[in-house]
Amino acid sequence: MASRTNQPEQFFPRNTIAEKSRPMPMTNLSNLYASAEQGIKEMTGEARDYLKSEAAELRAACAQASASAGALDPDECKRVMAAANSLREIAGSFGYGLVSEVAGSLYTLVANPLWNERRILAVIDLHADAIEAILRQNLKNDGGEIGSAIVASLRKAVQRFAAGK
Amino acid sequence: MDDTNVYDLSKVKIVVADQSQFVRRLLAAVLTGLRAPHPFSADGSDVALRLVAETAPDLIMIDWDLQPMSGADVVRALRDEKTSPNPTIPIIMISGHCALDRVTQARDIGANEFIAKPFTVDAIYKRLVALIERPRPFIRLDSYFGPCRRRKIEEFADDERRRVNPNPIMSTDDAA
Repeated sequence: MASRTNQPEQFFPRNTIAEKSRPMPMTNLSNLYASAEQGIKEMTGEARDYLKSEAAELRAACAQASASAGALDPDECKRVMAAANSLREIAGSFGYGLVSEVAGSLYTLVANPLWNERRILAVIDLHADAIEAILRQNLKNDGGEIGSAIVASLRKAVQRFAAGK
Repeated sequence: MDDTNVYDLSKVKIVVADQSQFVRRLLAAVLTGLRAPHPFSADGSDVALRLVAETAPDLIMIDWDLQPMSGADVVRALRDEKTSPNPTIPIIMISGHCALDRVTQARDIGANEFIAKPFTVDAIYKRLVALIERPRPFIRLDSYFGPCRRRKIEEFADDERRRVNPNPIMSTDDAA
């Protein structure tokens, strides 16, 4: 009969979070969330400035890449991706879900080394245009009809690019 | 109706590690709104590891894209029983990338929970409650030390998976 070897040791470590946390049955979850949401709301003005500055950085990164010859070099890629990632990570927490989506699309595009060719700059510019438009028009969440039109236009541009056109 | 329990977190010590000052401040605003104390703040991997050693926190929330060591490498360092000041410390990995492979990797290197950016108050709070109410046992193998990895990916990423846009501009097909 085979012996049972290599069985993982399993244990529960001390849970200091549970030890230090006290249930509060009389407190309403909605009120708790409202308090945390208020903290986010108080940063809204600062967030808009932050997003605009990151959008400006994205535009500057695009301009730098456009000024040089050939495809994006690694540093140019990193700069674009850093700005896109920053926008993606923050925008949605302040209601700019569409900015997060467009920035995420841009990040994926630039991160793909197979697609690093000169043509990509036009598509990057379109993404930067879209982000600036969304922030300028203060389009929240999915941006409604305008947001749908922006997404549709970007999707076509990406598909054309992917198809080599 | 959400029946998540409410907890007083005022004595829970938390370290937040992210390169972006804005993100650290945002997380601090959410955590203090949830009645946790103001977290200790780390802008890089070195500071994060130092804070864990010096402040003995109950939890660390760490971004994947840290420098000079990545968040993933910090998690590995924290789970090293020989050198870590607290190899069983609860770790919530945070990332702007929530593709399946990233979530899987976070789980497999020893993170307890995963939160995608942009994050929501609900996602953060539910992860905290999961650490309180449903802690996972730790496993010690030759090749791994950390929380049991048997939890399904869907449970690990929970809200993040549901929030992913099913019709993104750039699909993985496009990116292939």
